[in-house]
Amino acid sequence: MEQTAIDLTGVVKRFGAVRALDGVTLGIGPGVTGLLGPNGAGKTTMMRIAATVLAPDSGTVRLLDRDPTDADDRVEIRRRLGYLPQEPGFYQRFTAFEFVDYVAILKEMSDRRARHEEVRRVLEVAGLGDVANRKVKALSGGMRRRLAFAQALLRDPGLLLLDEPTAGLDPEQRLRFRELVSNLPNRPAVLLSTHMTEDVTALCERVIVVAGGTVRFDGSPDALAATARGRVWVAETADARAVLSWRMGDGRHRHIGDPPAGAELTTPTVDDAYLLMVGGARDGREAAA
Amino acid sequence: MSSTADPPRDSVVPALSRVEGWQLVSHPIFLVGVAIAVLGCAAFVRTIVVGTAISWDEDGWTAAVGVLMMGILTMVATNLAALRDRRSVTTEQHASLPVRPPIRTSGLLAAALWPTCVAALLLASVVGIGATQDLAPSGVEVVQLVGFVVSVLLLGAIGIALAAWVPNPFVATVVAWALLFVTPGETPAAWQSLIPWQTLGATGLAAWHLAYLCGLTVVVALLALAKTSRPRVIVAPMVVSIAVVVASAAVLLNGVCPAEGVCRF
Repeated sequence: MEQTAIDLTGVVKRFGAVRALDGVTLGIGPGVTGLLGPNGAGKTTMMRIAATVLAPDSGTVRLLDRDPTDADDRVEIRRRLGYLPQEPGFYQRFTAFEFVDYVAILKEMSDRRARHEEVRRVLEVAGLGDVANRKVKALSGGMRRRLAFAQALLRDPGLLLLDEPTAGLDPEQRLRFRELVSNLPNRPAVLLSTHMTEDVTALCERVIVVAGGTVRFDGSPDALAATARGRVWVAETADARAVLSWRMGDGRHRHIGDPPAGAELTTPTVDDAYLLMVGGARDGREAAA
Repeated sequence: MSSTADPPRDSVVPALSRVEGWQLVSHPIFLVGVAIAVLGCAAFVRTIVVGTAISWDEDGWTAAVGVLMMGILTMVATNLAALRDRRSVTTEQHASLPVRPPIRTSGLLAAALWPTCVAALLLASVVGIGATQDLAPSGVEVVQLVGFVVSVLLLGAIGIALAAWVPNPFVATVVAWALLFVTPGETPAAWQSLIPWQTLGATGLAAWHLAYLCGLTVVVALLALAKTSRPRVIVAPMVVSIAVVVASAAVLLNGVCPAEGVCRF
C-alpha cells in the first residue's frame, strides 16, 4: 500500500477576512502532483501548511503519516521534507557549497564527511558542481533557483514541496529540471505548485486545480484537458461569446467557452481546460463582487 | 550517498559552531576589529621592544583598547549572524528544517568562542613577547588579560541576545556606539567596577571581576537561549549564574574582600 504523504481534511486558513483555504480535503501520495491555480488561489498557503511552517485555523493535517501539531512528529516530518519556497532566500556571503552545507547541518547531518558528500551530490544533481565555490551573490538568477532546488534535495526527502520551481529558468534549464524531478530516486511524493501548465503536462501524474481557496479539479492531466472537450474551437475571426480567445500564429483565432452551432471544434489542452476553469471562477467572483 | 541515520540533535551544535565560527572570523566587520586589536597590541609591543614600557598596567592600554574594539565589533558580527535568516529572507525556508532555534542559538554561542580564541591568541603573543623582554605580566595582570578575553565572549553573546530579543541590526550598532563611551575612569567610581573591561588590579579585586564577567557571560548566553528554549532547561543555570553575578557585583561595589587573602593573588 502506498503511503499518503499529505493528508488534508477540511483545512481552513484565513488571513484577516480572506479565506486562503476554505475546507480543503485531499490526499497526495508518491509521484509528481501538480498544483495549478491563479495568484491568490491558496497554493502557497497549502504548500506552507505542508511544509509545517504554517498551521491551519481548522481541519486536520497529516504529513508522512504523522501529526505536525505534535512537536516530536513535526521534527520527524521535517527530517524527511524538502521544501523550495516560492521566494527562496540565500546567504549572499556564502559560497554555493557553504550554503547547502549549512542547510545540511540544519537537516541534522552532523558527520562532516557524509554531509560534504551529500552536498556535492545535490549540487551535481542540480548542475551546480562547477560553481560550488562561487559566492551566492555572484550566481545568476537561474543558478540561485537551482541552488534552492539543490538544498531541497538533501537527504532524499520523502516529501518534496516545490513552489514555482521553474520561475525564472530559461527553456533549457526548465527541461533539465523536468529531467531531475522525473528521475528522483525512491519515488518521493512531489507537490509541484506552478503557473506553468506545460510543466504539469510534462511531469505530473496528477493535477489539482485550486481557485478561491477550494479544490476545483483533482485528476490526471488528460482528465483535466477532457473537461474542456467540446468547448474549444477555432475560427477565422474573433468571437465575443468566448470566455477567452486569442489570435494564433497562423492568423486564426482559438476560442474557449460555449461554442456557437457549427463551430470547428478542436482538441483541448490542459491550458484550455485550466483557463476555462479558472477564467470561469474569476468571472464568478467578479459577478459576485 | 545520503546519510539517513538520525544523529542526536545536540551533535549538530559542534557542526554549526564550526561553520558559524568560520563565518564570524572571516566577516569583514570582525576583521576590522582584528586589525584595530593588532594595531593596539603592536603599539604596546613597540614600547616593550624599545624599552620604554614600565608595566602592563601603565602601558598596556593600547592593547586593551584594541581588544575591546575587537569585542565590540564581534558583537556587531554575531548580531548580524544571528539575524542572517531575517536579513536573507530564509526564515520560512529554515523553519521547515528539523533543527530547532535553541540548537541554532547554541551553535552561534559556541561560534562566539572563535573570536574569543583570536583575542586570546593575540594577547598570548603579546605576553610571549613581553616575557622575552623581561616584562612578563604579574598574576593580577594575567587575570585582567583573561578578563579582556572573556569580555570578547561576553560581547559576542550580547550580540546574539540582542538579536533574539530586539531583532534589528540597527540596535546592535547603537549599543556598539554607546559602549565606546562607557570608559572606565582612572580612579573608578564604585559602579564603574561593574564595567566589563574595567581593570581592578590596583584594588585587588581582579579575581572577583573575572568571576563577575564569567557569570555575566553565562547570564547573557542564557538570555539569548531563553527566547526559544523551554524555561525548565535554563532556569537552574540562570539562577546559579545570577547568584555568581550578584555576589561578585556586591563585592565589587563595596570594594572590599569578604575575607582577607581571597582577592589578592
